[in-house]
Amino acid sequence: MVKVATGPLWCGLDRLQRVILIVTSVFISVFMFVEVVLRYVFNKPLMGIEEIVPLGAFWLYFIGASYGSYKRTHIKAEVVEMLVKSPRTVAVTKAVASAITFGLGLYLCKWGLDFLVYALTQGQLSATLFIPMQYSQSAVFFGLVLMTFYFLIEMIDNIRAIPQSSKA
Amino acid sequence: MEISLIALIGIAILVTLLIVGVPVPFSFAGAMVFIMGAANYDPSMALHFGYYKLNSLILLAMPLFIMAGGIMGEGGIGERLVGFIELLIGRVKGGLGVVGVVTCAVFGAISGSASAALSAIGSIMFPQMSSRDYPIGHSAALISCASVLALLIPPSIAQIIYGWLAEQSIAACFLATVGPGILTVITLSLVNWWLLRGVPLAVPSKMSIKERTIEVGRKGKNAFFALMMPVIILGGIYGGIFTPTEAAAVSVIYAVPVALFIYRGLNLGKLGRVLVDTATTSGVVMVMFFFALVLSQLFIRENLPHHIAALMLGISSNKYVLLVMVNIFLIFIGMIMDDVSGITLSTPLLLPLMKQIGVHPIQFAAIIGTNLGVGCMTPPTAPLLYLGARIAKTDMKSMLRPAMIMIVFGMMPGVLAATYWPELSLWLPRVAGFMG
Repeated sequence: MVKVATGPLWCGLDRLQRVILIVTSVFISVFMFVEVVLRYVFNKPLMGIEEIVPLGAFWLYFIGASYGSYKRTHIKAEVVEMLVKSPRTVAVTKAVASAITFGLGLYLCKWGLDFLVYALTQGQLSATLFIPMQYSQSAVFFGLVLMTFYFLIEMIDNIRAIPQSSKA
Repeated sequence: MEISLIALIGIAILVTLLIVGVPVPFSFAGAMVFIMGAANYDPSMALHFGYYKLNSLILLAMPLFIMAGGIMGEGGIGERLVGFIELLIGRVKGGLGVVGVVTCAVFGAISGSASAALSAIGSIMFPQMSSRDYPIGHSAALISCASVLALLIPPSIAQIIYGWLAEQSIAACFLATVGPGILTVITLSLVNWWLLRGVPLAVPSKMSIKERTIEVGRKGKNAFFALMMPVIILGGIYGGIFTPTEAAAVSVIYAVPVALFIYRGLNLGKLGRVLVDTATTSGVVMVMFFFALVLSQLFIRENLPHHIAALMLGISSNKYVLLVMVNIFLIFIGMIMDDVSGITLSTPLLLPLMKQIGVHPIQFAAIIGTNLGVGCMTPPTAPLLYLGARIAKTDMKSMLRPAMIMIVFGMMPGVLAATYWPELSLWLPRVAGFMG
């Protein structure tokens, strides 16, 4: 694995993402549950729940996806790996796939940055509780950046694996 | 460049990226980037559109159901369900296979995710089936096929997406797949029995009525909290108490103390790990959905649904021939991508044609659910078969023959019935009052 993949940045990011995932999971399930209890037990529905819960949901979605990139659990078809027997061809295909993924990730990061800048400059507020929308909008950019970072590491690993595949 | 040509090249890019092994969301993104560039769309539209679409309380039901399924699965629910259902139907030759099929259906009423059902039930069933001399390839193929029942028995993540995209009642879509789901339980059980008719299997010793009653009481008590979960979820939704999203949140809050203090399958440390795992699965699914949504919107703007309808109607205007083509199209989609992506792309493409030829959108929920289920089991990609092979610690070679027989004779009847027998999917939603 690449050197950065064992350093403090790597471990810190791992821990930070796990904390975000646990906190947002608890946040959205508890808030939705409290809404049901308030409505049925106390007869007082929680106003603006549809504005509060997405704050956690977007961070869960995008950090969940970036953690999926870290764990390399994104869904892939991997048809070539199934049909081709040569280890070298499989290794080269994997490297090409991860290079394409990284390239697309970089491209999307640019779009994500534009989206973040838009969110910060527009300063949109939610309709009922006036919650700044950029709290949830910014998750898109940060998630894309982290995903792209992990795809870079995966690409380097896959390129380095090509010479070893020839020996196999 | 011709507008439809842009869409066609976009589809070719999508299929190529999928085949090469680019992750599904980024394959969608690749096609999306091409279409937006070639057709001169404003690039800022993509993320704005995806963000505003994903900002929905209805869709929040997906991560919450994944979370509830994960907590219950890791919390030890599988063993209790298998133990109880085995006592009821598992004491005949081949009965343990039927137990696996029925348990997957019951687990489907808790989690709504096929891979969660396969992981939770497969890891318990495979050792038990091997100890009773079931061929491992047969066991792995059977439980993998049965895991698709999680997509058909409500609550189903796939139907939440379909209902939301097609602007139909999600509760009605849930009910539309119940008939095909029950039919699939029956046909898979029959195929299991037929395939095992010449295989010498160990059968558990007979019990007296008294022993049996005591055991049913004991194991029923054990399984009670697991069996209450579908009652709470479905009772809440159809009793008009909860929305599907609220039902999902209630099921999470219910699952935590059951897994921690009653089944004791989890402690706080493990619960944290389960939350991270389920949130990761949710993130992977939701970001894939995010890009699939943007891409399907681009297909709509490129008038692709109209082109597909014209192409199919150009081949034949006969409703049944068109439905055969739709079956083939959906199974092909299921073969190259997962159910969430398949539904997101296929619904806007095919729904206008379905309405045009008189197929009710609620029936189409069942058609799309059953077809994509079969697609997810069909090689070359067959993600559920590969997962089944991994959990059973066997190879695809030993699974392939029984899996193909189970797909053709165990799953295809459900697909054909959902497609050509509208009442099978429409009766229950109508009786429940969801269709005027």
